Amino acid sequence: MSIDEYLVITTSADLLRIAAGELVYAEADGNYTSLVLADGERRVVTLQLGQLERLIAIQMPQAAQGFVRIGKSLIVRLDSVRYIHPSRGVLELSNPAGQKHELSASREALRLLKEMIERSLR
Amino acid sequence: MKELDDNEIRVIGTPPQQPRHGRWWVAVLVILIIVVIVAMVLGRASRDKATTATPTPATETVSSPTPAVTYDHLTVIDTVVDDVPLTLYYPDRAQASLQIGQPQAGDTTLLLAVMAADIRADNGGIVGDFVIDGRVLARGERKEGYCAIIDGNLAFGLGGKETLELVKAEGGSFFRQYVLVADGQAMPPKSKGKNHRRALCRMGSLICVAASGDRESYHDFATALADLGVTEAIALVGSESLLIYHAEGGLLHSVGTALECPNANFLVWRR
Repeated sequence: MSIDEYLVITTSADLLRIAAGELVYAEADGNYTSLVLADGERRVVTLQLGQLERLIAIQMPQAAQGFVRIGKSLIVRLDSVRYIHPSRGVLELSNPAGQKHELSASREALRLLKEMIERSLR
Repeated sequence: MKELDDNEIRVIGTPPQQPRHGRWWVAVLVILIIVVIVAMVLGRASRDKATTATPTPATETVSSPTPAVTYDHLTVIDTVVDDVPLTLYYPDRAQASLQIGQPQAGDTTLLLAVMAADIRADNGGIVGDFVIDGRVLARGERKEGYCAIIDGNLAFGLGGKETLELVKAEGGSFFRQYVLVADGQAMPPKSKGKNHRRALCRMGSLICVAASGDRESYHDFATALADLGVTEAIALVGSESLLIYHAEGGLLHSVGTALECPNANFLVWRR
């Protein structure tokens, strides 16, 4: 994953700049999205998750391949995935600081994610 | 980019991976449709006994604020209340004052400056009672909120008639604005327009400047402040007006644009 790519979110009032390696996951919250960063910081931005996904694809084309959109509510960094239990709908992420984030997603989406990671090992 | 449903995933920038649907799924769907039709027929008899569901009351939402960023005696926190994104600026151990004219870029004592009283669009005059160092520069009490500074002590809220006389006698400063929150209750002006809003707020013993991240009505902004726990708040100049704060490394960070007007006035906190 390139460390030179950045996600830059600007509004009329401010600018948020996040290195590709800093973003652990993003979670939809209505018209807003919470970004959870490698140091555990959580930032709320006034973007819908779909808009954020497009920004990631445009601004971080290389790093984007290391992120997975899961259903309507999540974008996660693939190499932060620690544990998946599809039948319980549990997805656990860990960040470089050792913090764990337990998230939930649909069983089917998690089954696909599990298969995707298994395929990457072959 | 196609929106996903909850059962799909995709690596960003690639087509989605969809769940596998075999023929068994078609069979399940047919059975479900039959069950629904049977349930509708059987349910017809008991339709009169149907009860009305109680609507779920609207809930207030206060998101966890992002970690505070503390500069030298200024703490900045982003949060979202009732879907209103807010930035809160808390000056600490700072002296408040009111001044005409934009603060100088080289002012190293400056912590926070925000435009205070509104300026008339037609003649550039200041709206409402306005006093600097005991000198009366404008009159008018249509706006019921006030902010007064005497010997660096800041007071604000609803009313202020008696305070205004005290300010004149003591050589203090004073301006008027709309009241947004009084005694913990939202009291927004009736205007329904949306704009970027700012307010001078008191939460217990803390004083802060709140700025909305989006264009909001006064009603939504004032309600969000009250739900945040603000007990008193008056409006400050909003829209794209200038707000300056002392950021990391001694830099002055500015939000908005300067107003080219000789009466542009600022509420300023200095160390």
